[in-house]
Parts: sequence; structure tokens; C-alpha cells
Amino acid sequence: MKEKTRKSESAPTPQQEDTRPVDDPARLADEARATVEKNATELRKQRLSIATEPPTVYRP
Amino acid sequence: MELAEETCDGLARVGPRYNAVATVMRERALAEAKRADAALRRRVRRPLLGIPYGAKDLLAAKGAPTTWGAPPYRDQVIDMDATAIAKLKRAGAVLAAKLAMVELAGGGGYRYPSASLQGPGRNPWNVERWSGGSSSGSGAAVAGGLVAYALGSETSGSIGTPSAYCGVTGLRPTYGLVSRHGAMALSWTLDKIGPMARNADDCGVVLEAIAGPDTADATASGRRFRPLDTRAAAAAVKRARVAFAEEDIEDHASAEAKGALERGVAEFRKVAPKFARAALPALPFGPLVSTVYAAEGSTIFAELIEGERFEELVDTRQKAGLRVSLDIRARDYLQAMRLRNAVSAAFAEIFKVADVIMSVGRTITATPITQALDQPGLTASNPQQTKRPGNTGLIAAGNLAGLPAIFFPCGFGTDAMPVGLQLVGPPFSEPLLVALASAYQRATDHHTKRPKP
Repeated sequence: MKEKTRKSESAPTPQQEDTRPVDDPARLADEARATVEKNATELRKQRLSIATEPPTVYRP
Repeated sequence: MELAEETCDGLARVGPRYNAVATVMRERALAEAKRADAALRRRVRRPLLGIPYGAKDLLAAKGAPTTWGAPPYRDQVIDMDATAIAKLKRAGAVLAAKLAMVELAGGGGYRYPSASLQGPGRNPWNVERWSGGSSSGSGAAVAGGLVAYALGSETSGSIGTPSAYCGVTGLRPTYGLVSRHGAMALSWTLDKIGPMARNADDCGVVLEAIAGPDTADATASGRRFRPLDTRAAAAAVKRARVAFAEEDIEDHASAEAKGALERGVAEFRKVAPKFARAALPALPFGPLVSTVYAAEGSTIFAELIEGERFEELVDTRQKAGLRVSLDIRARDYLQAMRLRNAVSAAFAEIFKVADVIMSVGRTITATPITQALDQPGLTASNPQQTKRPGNTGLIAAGNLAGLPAIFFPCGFGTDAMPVGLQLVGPPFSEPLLVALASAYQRATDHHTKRPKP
């Protein structure tokens, strides 16, 4: 529900081509959110074995 | 004194042509030059003594505002020297200018080269092309001959891209080799400060001065850098095993860049002939690195993002990116941090059979300053779509693993813009990286080319 309220009124569905100007702030905001979500999806696809992974979160 | 005056004059006169300069620091430069002259009269001999340089405006320095390239911080004064600048001062160097940068080092994901308080970084090789980001002014000022060297910084590509686009040599140190005290933080776990200069040896001289322990930076490793002596360097170059994936150029280089990149690799093979194929595994390096710096950067700038001055930022896409990054989930940030171990492990496997990994600096030449950075190239033709990623994720992957890299020019594309190569090595392998790039530069003359004034 929270996700829906963040999107602008004119945000297209995935099937629709976005007709807003490329520099429209609402379009850019939607694109930025889509990028974050796409990145999250990519990261979650990566499986790590909790039985064997190193004992700490990454330390540079 | 004369050199400092000439440098300040040049920065003031020519700097605006490239939008390269944030502040010319004449008063400080002349005071430091006076001290250097006195030392020279006492027969003190140090390689950086009296040599003017510029520093990316992400580093605090007494005597000038520190704007971080961003309008909300245009009047910010941080009355201290960043550790890297203080160390250069102790080495006798002369700070002549703060240099332009992409606002907030571009952590929100900017769309246009114009995302800077100083306007789009213009490339000295063609002012209608971008100088790269986010160390835009550092790249342009060195390429344009305004300073002999500059300090830049890299979170993911901000030394490499301007070095490649401007045809200069840039060195991204191992994470923690150079103190970040006094530097704007975009990402606590990714940021590095490094030199950009006309050649690898000069980068080594600057790195030697700025590397080392610093009690003000808990992430500083305490390690120092010393270049290899001539004999050790020659031996190291001769026995160096170079990992390379041919698809980096075959499948990904633009039509403009391809030939020069291929010739550059062929030249490098004559210097260090032990080449072997090796490529990183298919991991989502881009999503990984952008999740890390977006989450850390938006947290760092949360007060700005939620405050009244946020709208003063130049780039609309950057603003959108910073806003939305505040909502990156802990789950995803921590998953990215976990996966960094897998990235480091992948490098460790390659470094069992190779001493360095070679790839292109960038697959394309500098793009037009009006071109959106997320759109297909106008002059940089589209790379072929391929299922062979090779090592094209090397900039993101190398930064995720905190590894050092050196970027150096290897010729010119068919559009007369510079192209370059990069070498990445294990942690603290900077002596080998400098030795290899230096050997290449002794055998070639690409790094000596200068744009017409």
C-alpha cells in the first residue's frame, strides 16, 4: 500500500510506454524508484549459504 | 614564486573554459611557494617542493570554501586542511586551486554532465565533450596543463572516468591507504582519495606523500606506499602475469574507441607479455555498488534531503535518486554488503593465477556535454549486446573489493578523443601497478600528448 502512494498519479503501468517528457520530475522519481527496486531484485537473486559464509558482514 | 603565480594566472584565465576551477587559491599558493623558495635556497630537495597542484573541491582546505560541487554548500567554509592536503603541504607542495566536481560526487545518480555548481566539466581535447565525473575539474585541469597533478576521489569510477576521458593517468588507491579525514563522505565503505597526473611516476610521487597512517581516520590502514626501485620494477614488470578478457574490447568497445584500445593492449603485451585469459564471475556488480553508495550517501545527506536547501541541487535525476535512496531497505543494503565478500573471493581466485587484471578504462570516448548519461551514445556508438560480460564490471567490482587501480591513456579514438586502459591488482599492490604503467609509458608516448591550448 505504501509503495502505491509513492507513485505519481500519471505513472504508467509496466505495459504502457511512458509518454511524459524525459526530464519530467515525476517521471524521474518513478524511474529512480524503479532502479532501486530492480537493484534489490538482482541482489535478492544471489543465494548465499548461511552455513558457510564468512562470519562477518563485509569489512573493507 | 613565479611558477605559483603563473599557475594561478593560468587557472584563472583558462580554468573557466573547462569549468574546471571552483576557487583559485592565489594567497595560499603564494605563501606556500614562498616557503618552498626558502627551502630550496637551503638546498632542501624533495620531489613535490614548490610544485603547484589542485584538489577536488570535496577536500577541505584552509583559505577557500569547500562546496562539494553543490549549490546548497556554495558558502561552506571548513577551516581545516584535509589530511591529504596537510600531508602535501608537509611535502612542500603548493595548493593553487580547488577543482570542480559533480555535485555531492554524484551519489544520487545524475543525468547530465551539468550536475555541478561550476557547470558541465568541459574536456580540454574538445570543449563540447564531457571531462567525466565526478572528479571533472581534476581531469580537465591536468589534461589542460593547468596543474601538474591533482587530487581526485573515487567511490565507483570518479578517478577512472575523468582519467580515461581526459587522457591523464589516475591512481585509485587501496581502500584505507589514504586518509579521508576532511573529505566529503559519499560512502564510508567505498570512498578513496587518489592522484591524477600526467604519468604513472608522478602519481607514485604524490601517492607516497599522501598515503600512510592518520589517527583522525579510523579506516586508514596505516600502510605506506613506496615505489619500486628501478631494478625491482623492471623485474616485476617482466614476470607480471596479466589477466585479460578479449570481449571487453571485442564486444563492448564503441566503434570510435575500439581500434585504439586494441592497439593499446597490443603495445602493453610487448611490455608485459605474460597474458592469460581470466574473467570475473557474473555477479550484479552495478546493482551492488549503487545499492551501497546510495544507501550510505542518502543517510549521510539525509538532513539536506529533508531540508529546505535540497531543491538547490542542479540535477533533477540526482535529487530523485537521493530521495528514493533514503528508502533502501536494510535487508538490501546488508545483502549487498554480504555479497562484497563474494566479490573479494572472486578476485582472490583470479589473483591466484594473475598479478593484475587489465581492462579498458572506459569502453567509449567522452560523450557530448549535452547528452544524458543514461542514453545511448550519440558519438559513442552502442556496444554490441552480448552475453559475455568479460571484465566490464571491473570498476564497480574493484571498488566493492577496495582494490587499487591505475588508469592510463593508450591513444585516441577515431573522434580524436583519448582512450585508456586500467590495471587492477590485489590490496596494496600499488607499487606493481605504478611499475607496469610506467614501463608502458616509457615504451609509448600517448601520455605526452597535449590538447591544443
